[in-house]
This record gives sequence, structure tokens and C-alpha cells, in this order.
Amino acid sequence: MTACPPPDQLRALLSAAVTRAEADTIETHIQNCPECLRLLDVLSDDPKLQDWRDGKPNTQDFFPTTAAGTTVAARGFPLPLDPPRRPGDLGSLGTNRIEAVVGRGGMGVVFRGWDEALNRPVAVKVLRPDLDLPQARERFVLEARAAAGLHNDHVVAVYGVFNPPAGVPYFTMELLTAPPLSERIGGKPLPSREAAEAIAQASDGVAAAHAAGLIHRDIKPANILTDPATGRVKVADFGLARDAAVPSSLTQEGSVVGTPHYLSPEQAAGGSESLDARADVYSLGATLYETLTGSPPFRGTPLAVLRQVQTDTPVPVRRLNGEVSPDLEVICSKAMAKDPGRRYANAGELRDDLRRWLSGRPITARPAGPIERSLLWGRRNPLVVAVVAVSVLGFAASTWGWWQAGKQTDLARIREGEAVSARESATEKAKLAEDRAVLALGTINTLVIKAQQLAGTTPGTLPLRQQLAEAALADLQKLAATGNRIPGADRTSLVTHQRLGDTLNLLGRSREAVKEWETAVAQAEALANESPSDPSPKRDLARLCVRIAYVHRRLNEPGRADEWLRRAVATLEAAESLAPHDKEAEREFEVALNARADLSLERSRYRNAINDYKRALVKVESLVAADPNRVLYQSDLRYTHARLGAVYELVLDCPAADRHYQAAEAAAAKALNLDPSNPAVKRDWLISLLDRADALAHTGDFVGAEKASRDALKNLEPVARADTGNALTQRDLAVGFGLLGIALVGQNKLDLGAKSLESSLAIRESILRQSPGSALVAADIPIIVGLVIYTAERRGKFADAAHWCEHAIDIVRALHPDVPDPSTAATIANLTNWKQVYDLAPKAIADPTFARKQKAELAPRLCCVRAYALARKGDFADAIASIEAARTTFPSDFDVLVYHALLHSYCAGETTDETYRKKWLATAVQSMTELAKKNPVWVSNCYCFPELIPVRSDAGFEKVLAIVRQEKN
Amino acid sequence: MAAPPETSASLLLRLRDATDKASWNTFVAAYGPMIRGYCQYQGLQEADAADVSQEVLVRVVRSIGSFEYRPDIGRFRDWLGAVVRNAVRRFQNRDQSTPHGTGADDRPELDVAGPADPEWTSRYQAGLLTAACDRAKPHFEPHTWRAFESVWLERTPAPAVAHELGLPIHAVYVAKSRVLQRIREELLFLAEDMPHAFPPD
Repeated sequence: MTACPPPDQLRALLSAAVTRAEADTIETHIQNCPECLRLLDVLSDDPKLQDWRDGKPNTQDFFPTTAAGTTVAARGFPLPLDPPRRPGDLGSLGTNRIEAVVGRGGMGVVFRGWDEALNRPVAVKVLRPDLDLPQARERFVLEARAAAGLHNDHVVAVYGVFNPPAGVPYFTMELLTAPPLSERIGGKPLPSREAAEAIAQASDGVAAAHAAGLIHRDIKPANILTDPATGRVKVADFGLARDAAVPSSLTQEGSVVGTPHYLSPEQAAGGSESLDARADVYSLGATLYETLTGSPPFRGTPLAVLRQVQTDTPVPVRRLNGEVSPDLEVICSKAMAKDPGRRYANAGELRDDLRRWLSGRPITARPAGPIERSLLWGRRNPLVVAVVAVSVLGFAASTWGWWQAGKQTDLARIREGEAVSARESATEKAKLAEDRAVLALGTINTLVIKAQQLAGTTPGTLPLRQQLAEAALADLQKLAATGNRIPGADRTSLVTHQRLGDTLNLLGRSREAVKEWETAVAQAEALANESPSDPSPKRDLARLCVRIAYVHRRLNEPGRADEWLRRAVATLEAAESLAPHDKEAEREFEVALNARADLSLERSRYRNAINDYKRALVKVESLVAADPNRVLYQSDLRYTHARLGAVYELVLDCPAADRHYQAAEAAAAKALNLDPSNPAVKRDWLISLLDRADALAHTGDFVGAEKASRDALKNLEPVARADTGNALTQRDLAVGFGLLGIALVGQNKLDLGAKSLESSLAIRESILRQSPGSALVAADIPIIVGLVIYTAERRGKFADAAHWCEHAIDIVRALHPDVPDPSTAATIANLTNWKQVYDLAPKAIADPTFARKQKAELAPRLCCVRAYALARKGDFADAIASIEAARTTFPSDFDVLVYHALLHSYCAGETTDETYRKKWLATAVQSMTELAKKNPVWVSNCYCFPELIPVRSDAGFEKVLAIVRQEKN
Repeated sequence: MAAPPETSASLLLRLRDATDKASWNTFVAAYGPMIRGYCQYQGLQEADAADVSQEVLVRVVRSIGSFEYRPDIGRFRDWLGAVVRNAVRRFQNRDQSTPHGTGADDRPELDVAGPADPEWTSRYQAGLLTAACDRAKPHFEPHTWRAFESVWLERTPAPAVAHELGLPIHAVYVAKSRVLQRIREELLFLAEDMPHAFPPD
């Protein structure tokens, strides 16, 4: 028999502080150990309560009397007080009489007292004696001193801090009789103005603390005292709150002190060391929420709330209280954003926005954060929705390079190169000119450049970027105002306006950005006219044109974008003739050409796109040849190759696409080699892997595609996990899973493939939840749903397929919440129809006559599903017969045509009968030819369907491709 | 649950707030039965016991914030016992020709507190324990409560309880320990006559 566990371990067992394995070991032992059982009996019991139970009157009361300072509370902490000096007192501390306990925090206990030296009432806060460890003590005193330094109308004043060598530290503060906000709320919402006013005042107090570098950590309605008579609000308990120095055992699961309702997600997650002011902003937001709705954001047991705080979105304020204005709701939700980077940076900003709201001025918070929008730029693809209506199968395969949108980093690229050259020229100018404005610009430049260089891919830098950008914006605006008044400071003024535009754009204020850039354009033009032989104002001009075009492109104004790009190219051609070997101009040129090609690609002008990319490639290659170790040039090389790969993929020239993708991957690897710690470069490399996976899937090499996507995922997952708030990274991860899913499905590993596709969908949905309408995922989320539905169908999981149809309807509704446009309605109708088809599928498969008896809108699809299921079972002849019958009955139905091609190809690939194989392949080619005429886009993207591999490998398929190319050009 | 014990003020402190209806109800539920029982033990009929205990409860609430109740002088338990005894005595003397002006009816409680009656003490303890159990029970899973009931209230040996409920033995002890902890907290809430200094562990 094993040795008895020490009594401490038995105590730990009783307080649930042991692991399951330890408990199991103890269990094995105590089953045979009367000694331990007896000890456990004693340890788990309470002799006094035993007496109560057994009817033995205690001579002592259950509770201690209030006799002296050594009073022992029932939980065993002596009250850390000196003996009372007056009867009726609890005790004394220094010059203070201690009259009663008025409250408790995680760190200490608060007494009501009277300072006999100054003859005034005081509240006395004493560190919990059981927490009197050196670290906690130091922290308590430090924070109390910091709080004592705060002088703000909305902070409870601290009078004095005492750290007696032979006692517990304590401090005295203003004794307030105002009731806490929690009492004023009492389960009912306060009027909006009253609520906003109270939280604005509280935020003011907290802002003062933040300015002093102090974080409250435990803001909640009970800590916000409000005087109903004057409306004056004060925040209590600074420097007393829940604390990092509290031994972790006291704040572990199950014993979290106090209420978790107002804890920020980062506090709930237990990351106390990295807390900053934004944790308080969250708590103020949660308090505002309760003030507006009458209830805290989450309800349930403390543990459940801790979980919800981290993962769930609270019910929108206005759903609980319709009288709250939308703006106030936006303020509240910005303060409560899960990601600290999306909150107000500090309590001062929250206060200012509340004040703006109170005085009827426009607020700064937006439903989607500005950074969010500038970061998540991507292209909405109106095509998708239209295509969804064609069929689920159709929409699974019917957008070009279905994850292309948003993966480009071209703007980041422009900025990065730009930042370097601008910094160089600003420094140079600063040397020459004594103009203070130029020097100021230099400083601001560094700020802007910093903000820009932290391009979305650096984990956790979103808030920093925003702060930097906003700081720079304010300075730039001042500077621009000065610059306009200084004649002759043209180049400085130009750069200032350009920076101003950059910064506004970074903050998502594109229209304002364009205005600033246009001002700069005018100045660049003037300079170019002044000195026609100087190429540098022309470079400036071209650069600005590219930027303006970029915004127009993003705002879906391709015509205007095109005009600006033409102008950029023309200007650069002129500059080139002036200085043919100017590297800077050469780079501007390739950037402009790439931008113009991107635009052509988006407008499906493939020939133009290829021409411009090729021209750009020549320039990039010359830059790389001159300076092969420059990361920027390698990145550009990767970009241009990758785009060429994409466009060749679209025109179905797979070998060319593959060549360019390989070159892109090589350039990305080289760049990564040169600058391994640069996250943007790393991302480029990962994207090149994903590109390659995509290209391999296109050629039907699903094994290669699986390998490439797994390689990418291996690198993506740690990054994505470390930075869950970065939508761009999350989306890369989703793309990786999507490609892996396609690759697995292609190899007939359906269950694994389905899992992977579902992961991809879940990630996209989570991005969408965090930023509704995010262009980054809006475009391709329906495609992924389509693939998920389709994979369920292949696996014969019709109930799953029906479920995913319903889910897809929810997604479509969420994407187009208010717009009752016909294409959305058609999509929903289509999905509803498919859902009914899958509901009925089992019956249709069991009974060959069932499908024909159904309604006209269900019958063809039921026939398709039935035929497909037969083929999957291996009944090829039956499958072919039944799809042929459907084709005869529904000759003009697109879905039937798709399944007709699909099944003939699939059965041809599976059958062992050579005669049938040839015959079916020929039929498949015929159907594909028809499909190519009806919907070339579908055919060019049919690589998602491994069933089509046999027909795609057939010599006759070249004709189909010829038709598609013809249709496309 | 009217008021969870985590909240800072105990029941007796809350009673000072005349508008706190919930606390009044909790108070009546916890203390009413023991007072009635003690009245009957002192010889009152059931209906009379109910009347007298109602009178006591009202009186307690009225005087708890006043000079009559001095926690620094005596324990709530003993004070309450004296209040009940005096009320019973008054009731029993009601119809007798007690000469007025002796001051016996005015404020006798503290004067006649005397040594605590062991019978009252044990009824007080049992009554509070029952009330605390009633309040604690909804906070536990039925099997946890059942384990506690068997092992502590019914004093069944832990291995037998474990066997009967199909639990590991240590789980029975953990249940006992946890429930007793909760009961202690509930008792503090119900009966603590001064604000307690620290939250429960």
C-alpha cells in the first residue's frame, strides 16, 4: 500500500485545488486507509456546526463578539486593527477611529472611520492581512500613492497613505455617502442622457488616472458613486482593485473575486500583466451598457460570464431598450469591443465621444472601426450573388480565383517603398532648408512611416497604427494650415498634403484622402511646369495619381481609376524620356503598370492586363538585376509574377500560370531569406504557397495542392493564433483551410475535406461577426458555403446539406441585412429550393418515380441528386440512364446540364468497360461544350469538381477551353 | 434567493432599512419558526405563539438599529432570547392585574437578559442551521446535496455513502466540505450581528 498523502494534500483535495490525476491517486489510497478516512472526516467537518447539529448549545456564539482588535472573523482573518479607543468602535488605526466595515474589495477591506487629528470622517482601506506579501504590499502602497496624486472632481480623493513597519498598510480617503450607480440602476435603465452624463463623468475621472499611468482594473456600477441631488459622479476604489499581485490561487477559476460582469475580455482571459487603459474603457462600456439597459451585458454563473465575456457578443443595447439612440449604442459597442485595438484608446476618448453625443455633435465611433475598413480593403464581387442564383454547384465554382480578393498587398507595397523614399527625401530637404515646417514634417513623417510600416500583418499593431496615424493626422493638419500660408514652400506643402492623404486613407477616410492628394497633384503639376526638365515632380505626380486611382478602384469607380492611371503612365513615360535610368522613376512606373493591370483584370480585360503586367515585369526585372538584395524589389517581383499567374489561370493557360506562380514563390522565398523577420514578407511567401496550391488544384494535382496548402497552414496557424484580432491573418488561414478542403475533396477524402471546408467557413463567419459586411470575406463566403453544401451532398449526408443551405440563407441575410434587392431574394429562394431538394432526397433515391411527381422547381434537381447518388454507389449504368432521362425531360435546365457533364465524366473515370468509357467521355465533352457556351466562367472554374478530371484530361476538352477563351476575350 | 451571502451587508444590517421587504421576508422565514417553537416550549398555545412571535419579529426589526440592541454589550442570540422571553412573560401577564408603572413593560429586555437559557441557545442554533441548509441547498447539484445529507446530517460513514451514490469516497468528503462552507456563509449572512470583515475564502 502506498504512503499516506500529507494532510496539506488532503486539504487541497477538499478545496478542489488538486488535479484529477492527483484526486485519483488519493482515491486509490483512501479506499484502504482508515487513518486517512478519519483525517478527511475531521478536515472536512466543522466541530462547531456539529454541535449545532447535535443540539449542544455552544457557550460561545457562532460569531465573535466585537471586543477587541484581535477579533477573529469566522474565516480566520484577524482584523488588522489596534484596540478601540472608544466603546462601540471596532478598533483604531493611527489617528483614525474605526467605526464599522463598509465594504470589501479583492485587495482589502474598507472601514468607516473618524480622523481625530483632522476631525473629519474618513474611509479607511486596509490591505487584506492574508495578502500581506511583500509584492502585494508594495503594489498596494504604490497604487495608493498614485491614486493620492490624482486630483479630479470625479475621483474619490485619497487623503493619506500609511505603511507602518509593524502593521498592515492602509490609506484614508474621502468618505462618501452617495449611493453607487448600481443602486440607481436597480435593474431598470436610466434615461439615455442621464446614463451618458454619468459615464462621461466617470470616464473623466478614469481619464485623469490614465493620464497618470494608473489603471483602475475594477470599474463597475458599484464603484461609481453618484449623488442623485447634484448629479455629481465619482469613481471610487482606485488603486484598490483586483490586482496582478494577488496570488494567482485567489483569482483562479471558481474563486474569482467579486463579479466578472465588467471585466474586459483580456482580464477574463487572465492576462493581467499586459493590461492597459483599454481594459478600463471596456469596463466603462459595460457599465454604460447596464446603465442603458438595466442589466449587465452577460448573465449567468461567474464562470459562464467569464467565458461569455471572451467569446460572445452581448445583445445589442437597442434591442433591450429601443429608446437609446443608434449613436449611443455605437459608442457603447466601440467601448466594449472584444479586441482592445477597436476600443477607444483611453477613457478620455470615450468621455469626448459621450460629450459629443450629449451636445448633439457627430461622434467619432463608427459601426466598423476606420482602421478596420482601411485594412480590410478588398473587392466586393457582385458577380457572386448573381451566380449563387444559378445553382449551388454553379456558385461553388463560379468566381474567378475565388479567393483573390483581398490577398493582394499592393497598397502596403506602395506605401512601404514610398515611405522609404519619402523619408530619404525629407531628411535631405531638412538638411538643406531651415524652414521649421520641413523639420516638423520630417518628424511627422517618421510617425506616418511607422504607422504605415506596421502594415496589417504585424501582430497586434492595429491599435498602435491607429494611434500613430491619428497623432500624425492632427500634426499634419496643423502643418498644412501653416504650409499653405508660406509661399514657396511648395514641395514641403506637397509632401504634407500627400501625407495627410495617406494618413486619412489609413484611417479609412478615403474621400478626404483623395481631396488632399488632389491638392498635392496641383502643386506637383505647378512644380513640374516650373522645371520641366526635372523628373522628380513628375514622379510625385505619378505617385499621387496611382493613389487616387487606388481609392477610386476601391470605391468601385473603375472609369475614374482608369483615367488617373492613364495619367500616371503618361507622366512616367515623359519622366523616363528625361532620365532613362532613374531607379525611383522606374519603380513608380512598375507600380503604376501593375495597378493598371489589376484594374483591367478586375474589369475582365485580360489582354490589357497581361500587357501591363508584362511591361511591369520588364521594369521589375531590371530593378532586381541592378539590386538583387533589395527586399522591396523582390516583393515587387513576386507580386507581378503572382498576378500574371492569376491572369493566366483565368484564361486557362495552366502551364504559363504554373510557371509564373513558381517564379513568384522563388521571389518570395528570396525576399524572406533577405528579411526573415519582416511579417509582410513572410505573408507574401505564405500567399505564394497558397497561390501555388490554388494553381495545382486547377491542374487537377490535388496531392500537390494538399501539400502546398498544408505547408502554408503550418506557418499560418501559429501567426493566426497569436493574432486573432487581425482579420487579414484570419482570412489567410481561412483560405488555407479552403484550399486544403478542395485538395482533399479532390482526392475523394470527403470527410476530411468537409471538415477543412467547414473550418474555413467558420473562420470567415467569425471575421464577419467581428466586422459585419467585411469586404474581405463578404465576397467569398457564399462560395465556401456552396462547397460545404456540395461536399455534404457527395457524402450522401442530405440532412447536413439541408442544414448548410439554411445556414447559407442566414449568411446571405446577414450580408445584405437591409437591402431588399432582387438578386438577394433570388439567392435565398434558390437556397430554399435546394434545402427542400435535400430534404426530399432520401425519398427520391429510394423511389425512382418520386422525383417526377414533385413540383416543377424541385423535380429536375431531385433527378440530379438521385442520379449522382446512384453513381456514388457504383450503379454507373443506372446513373447515366437516369441523368439522360432527366436531360430529355428538362432539356433547358442548367443544373441538369451540369450534372449531365459531371456524371458522364465521373462514370467514365470509374468504369472498367472501355466501350462505355469512351462513349461517356464523348458525351461529357459535348455537355461541357454546351456549358462553355452558356456559362464560360463556370467552366473555367470547374476545377473544384474532381469528377470532371476525366473529361478535362480528354483530348476533346481543348475545344471546350477554346470556346471559353473566345468567350472571355 | 433573496440575497446571496456574498453581498456585503448581512441580513441583520439590512433589516435596519425599513423599505427592504425582501430582507424582512428572509428574516421571518429564518427566525420565525425558532421563535414560535420557543414560545410553545414556554407554554403558549400554537395560535398565541404565532401572535407573540410576530410581535417579537416586528420589535426586533424596530429596535435593531436603535439603542436597545447593543452588539458591543451582548450577543444578538442572547438579546433575541431575552426579547422572546419578555414577550412571552408579557403575554402571560396580560390578563393578570399587574400594577402599572413598574417599568416592566417599558424596556425590560436588556435588564432581564440574564444568563442565556440553554434551551433557547440550542433552538436558536438548530433553527438557524435549518434555515441555512434551506438557503444553501439550491446552490448544489442534487447528488452533492444528497452526499452531504447522508454523510453529515444522517451521519452515514463516507464509504457507505460513496457506495450508495456511486461516487468516489473523496468526492463525498469534498461535497461535505463544500456544503458546510456554504452553510457557514449562509449562517454569517443570516445571523452575523456585525459587518464581517472579509469575504468568504
